[in-house]
Amino acid sequence: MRLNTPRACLPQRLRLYTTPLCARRTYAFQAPGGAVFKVFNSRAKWHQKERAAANPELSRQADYLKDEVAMRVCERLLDIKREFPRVLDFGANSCNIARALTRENPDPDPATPTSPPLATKLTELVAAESSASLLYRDADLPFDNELLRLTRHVLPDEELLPFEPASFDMVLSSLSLHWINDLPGVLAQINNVLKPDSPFIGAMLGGDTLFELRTSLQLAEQERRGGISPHVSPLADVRDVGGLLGRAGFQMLTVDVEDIVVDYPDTFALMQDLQAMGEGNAVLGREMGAIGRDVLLANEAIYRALHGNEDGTLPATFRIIHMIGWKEGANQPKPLKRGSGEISLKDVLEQK
Amino acid sequence: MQPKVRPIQRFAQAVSKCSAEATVYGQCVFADYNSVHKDKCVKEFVKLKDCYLVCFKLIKSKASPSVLHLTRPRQRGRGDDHSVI
Repeated sequence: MRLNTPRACLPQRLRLYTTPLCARRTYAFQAPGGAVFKVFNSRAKWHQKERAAANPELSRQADYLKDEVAMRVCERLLDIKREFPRVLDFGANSCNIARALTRENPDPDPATPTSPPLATKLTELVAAESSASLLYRDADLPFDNELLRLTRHVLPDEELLPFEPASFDMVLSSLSLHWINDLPGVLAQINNVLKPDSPFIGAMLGGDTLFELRTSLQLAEQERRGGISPHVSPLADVRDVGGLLGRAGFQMLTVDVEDIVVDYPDTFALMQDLQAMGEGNAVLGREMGAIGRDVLLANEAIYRALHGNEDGTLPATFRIIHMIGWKEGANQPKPLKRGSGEISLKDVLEQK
Repeated sequence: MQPKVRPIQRFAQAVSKCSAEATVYGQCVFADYNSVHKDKCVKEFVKLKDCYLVCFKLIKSKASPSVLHLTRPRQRGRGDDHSVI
């Protein structure tokens, strides 16, 4: 069309045509922030979670991993001697954290066999999750509103936190950050909704999670079809997480790794459980549709040969990256200046 | 009514009966897994698949036709969507 040529901007046509043209012009300083590299299809993820929650029985059976990790995340609260009036659980799944908080005797230390549930430290828990069915799956079960006020909040976009700045005394997140496309952006938003000097405690899948399945599926596809398609997500590494937290403005970082190995009778049980967890493949650019039967058949045999246990079970590794970061605040302990140390660590360690 | 049997469960049941063939095929791929190419172990795979097909037919014929009819209609690419994380 003639409008698209530079001639369209000539003065004689100004009155009629230039307004839309000029409105379309963009300047460098108007450009939005750097393009976010999309890895996951968030809509597909949402569908998978909804579908998983549509079968509550199966979904509850497959909650063992999320419950375990939620418990381990909550155990970290034992170390913080503080009350938390308002807490956000970001990416709540089926409110696993709320369940872990109301558990009796959470202290694993044998010296304190009876301890009050961690929920006594909290007043209100806001559970935010993008999938409504998953979030409300256990809404009629007794743990609800028993010890803490649980507010469920359905997120229209799982990468946007629609909360006031500095409105939470703590943010928790268990096994949901590994589906976030813009991890630096989300961490910065978490930092923003925290009050000064408040902690963020999170856990996500990372590193070598499901490396057995990744390798055997790659080999099976390579051998059967002569090429591979991604079946296991690219995941953040431990080394990246520290940098990400620092970049988002968190202080006093703690990052540690934990491997949970689950044994399954066969690869189908593993894949079925992953599906029931709502943790199916949602990588953009994956081959759509089901994995062919030939590949599944080959995968079962290769998994067993490559990684199988002696008792005939198949191990699957889940690597959990735990992270703690504190929002900057006044009177917060800070590391001393570099080179200001007066005691040699070497001497101390050698004396031991 | 009998509980629904997902097609993938019948598939898994059939595969589990072919462990000998599966081991041979698995070892073939495992023996040189740094240079796997298409149809490297095609002979072993065909044996595995033949065994699987026989077992699958046996399992299918055991389930009575009326029950088969009651189970979910076959949907290609849905019931056995087993892609992972």
